[in-house]
Amino acid sequence: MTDTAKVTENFTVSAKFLGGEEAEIISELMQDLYPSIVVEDFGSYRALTVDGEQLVFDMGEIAEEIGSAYTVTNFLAILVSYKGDIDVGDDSITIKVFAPKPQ
Amino acid sequence: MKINEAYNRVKDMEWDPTYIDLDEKTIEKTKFYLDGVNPIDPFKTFVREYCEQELEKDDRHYALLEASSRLHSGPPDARWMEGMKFGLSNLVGVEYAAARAMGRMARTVAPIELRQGYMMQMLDEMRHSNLEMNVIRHHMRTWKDPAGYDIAAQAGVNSVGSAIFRSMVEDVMTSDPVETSIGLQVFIETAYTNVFFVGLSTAAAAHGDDVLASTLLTIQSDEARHMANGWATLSALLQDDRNLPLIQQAMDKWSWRMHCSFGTGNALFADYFVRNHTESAKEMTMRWVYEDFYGGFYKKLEAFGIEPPKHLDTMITDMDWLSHSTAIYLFGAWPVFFHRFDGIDDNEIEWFENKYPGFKQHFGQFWQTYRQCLNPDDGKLILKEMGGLPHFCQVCNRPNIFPRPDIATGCSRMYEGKQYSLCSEGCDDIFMKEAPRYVGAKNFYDLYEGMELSEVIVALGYVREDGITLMAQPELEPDRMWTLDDIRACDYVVQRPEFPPLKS
Repeated sequence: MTDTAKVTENFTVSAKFLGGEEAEIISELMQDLYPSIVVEDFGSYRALTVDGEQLVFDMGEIAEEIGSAYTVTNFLAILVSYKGDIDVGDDSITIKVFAPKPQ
Repeated sequence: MKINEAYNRVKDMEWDPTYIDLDEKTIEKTKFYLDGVNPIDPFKTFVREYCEQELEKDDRHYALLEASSRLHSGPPDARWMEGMKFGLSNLVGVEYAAARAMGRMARTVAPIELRQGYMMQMLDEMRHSNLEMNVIRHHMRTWKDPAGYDIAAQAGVNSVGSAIFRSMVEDVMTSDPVETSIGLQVFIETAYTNVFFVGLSTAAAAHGDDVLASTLLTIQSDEARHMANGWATLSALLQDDRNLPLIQQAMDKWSWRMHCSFGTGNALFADYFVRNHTESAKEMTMRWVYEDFYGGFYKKLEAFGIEPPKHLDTMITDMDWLSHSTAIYLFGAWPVFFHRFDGIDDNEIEWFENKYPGFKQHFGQFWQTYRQCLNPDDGKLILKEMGGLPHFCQVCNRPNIFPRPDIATGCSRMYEGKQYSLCSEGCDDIFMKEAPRYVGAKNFYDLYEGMELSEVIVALGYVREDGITLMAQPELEPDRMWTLDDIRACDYVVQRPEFPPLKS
């Protein structure tokens, strides 16, 4: 098998957060909402990964868990990377599977 | 007002000025076709929200910088801190060049949705160069041996190793202004800054360098928007089939250039600048770059007619030896760098053999010899024991030793009566398409051929305040540090080696 053939297509969606209390709270919330999510704590950052489904981060739900107001601005301050197709809304951020199609 | 509604309203404020025509306004043209495309901007960033976001990021990060000045969590690891003298010296110039590139793109590229993202990115890149300068300054003030951190900006320009990064970023920012997006936003920022800034942040933290870990992560949080800029640009280009061959050419070129620069640098740092080995550089790169980027992003472009990069096979097989070949180059040429080196020990050799079968056979002898060339009183220079430096690639500025010195794939070409060295088929392809872009650069031999090594070190400015002791040392805590006199006693004169085989 050529090495190029070893690069297989995948449909992973992930979000990586600056390590800390907010990332921990968001991880726990998302684990409740998405049973198949995998959470990895690397110390300096935390990664949330699912395969083949989208992740919706709702600021209202996060605020509820954190115990204070929480906005998209707060969220984007700790989102260090993502994998997928991101869409930033007023009160939520969605990361979908990256699967573009020609028009 | 909902963000989408506000965004569309702001877009409607775009106008065509009457006091200047389009050619004068954009100054440069692009070879890509962008008329009539419908770009998307997933982040829909407004200046007000942008400033709020960046202020929050800076408040968090600079609070950590200040706290680290007051709190003492123990000294960070010396191998890491010394290695970062070289590592960090490369980044500031790259970020500043990226800022220039984004300003150029914002001026030249027509759709307003893309321009807004580019303008925010330009501000981000200036922020990044400042963040990196601040961490260099922090380390200069707090690390027990500041020599090397104090000349980071100078070294980023004249170091033989930094030429790899400098040549890449100067290529990026002088390319076609839209092609810059593919080099910078697609390959650097979607593929390689993830592994470099996020992956290495754990190494930084594990080695007690929390300041750099925070710096890398806060930078990468901006890169998340840059990744979106890259996809926004690329998806706009993919709407016009005339762009396909241009996109393919750009993908082939920049995938290779980033492998030779960021990929090479990251491999070195991940394997040789860490003491606490967990994941190999090959494993890290396979996961972040080949699985995440190529498998999760690039492969989806096949639906549009984009093929895998021409040299993808080579890029993957290179990973077996990339970090080790880079290491023996750097360690072998230690006197012309500006940090203290820390050679690997026997446990690490075993670890590398486990992760990279064949390591001992191909690189073991180098490390044995290196240990014999540490004491200046022995008068043995590893550079001489290795037979001197090899040629440097006219395109990527890496030495002609890749993938591994015994199977190096370099060649040379004639151009307008002068012979140039190339390290690989990938760089040869690039050179043959655009030779005039690369022949103006002066390499190490153009600058220093015929000079005795101590003269080179003085010319580079890599001498400590006493005027006689080298900034670089072959070990962390030598009994006696190497001086210019010790180098002179080794009698090494820079001589241009024979060119690799000539291709016609």
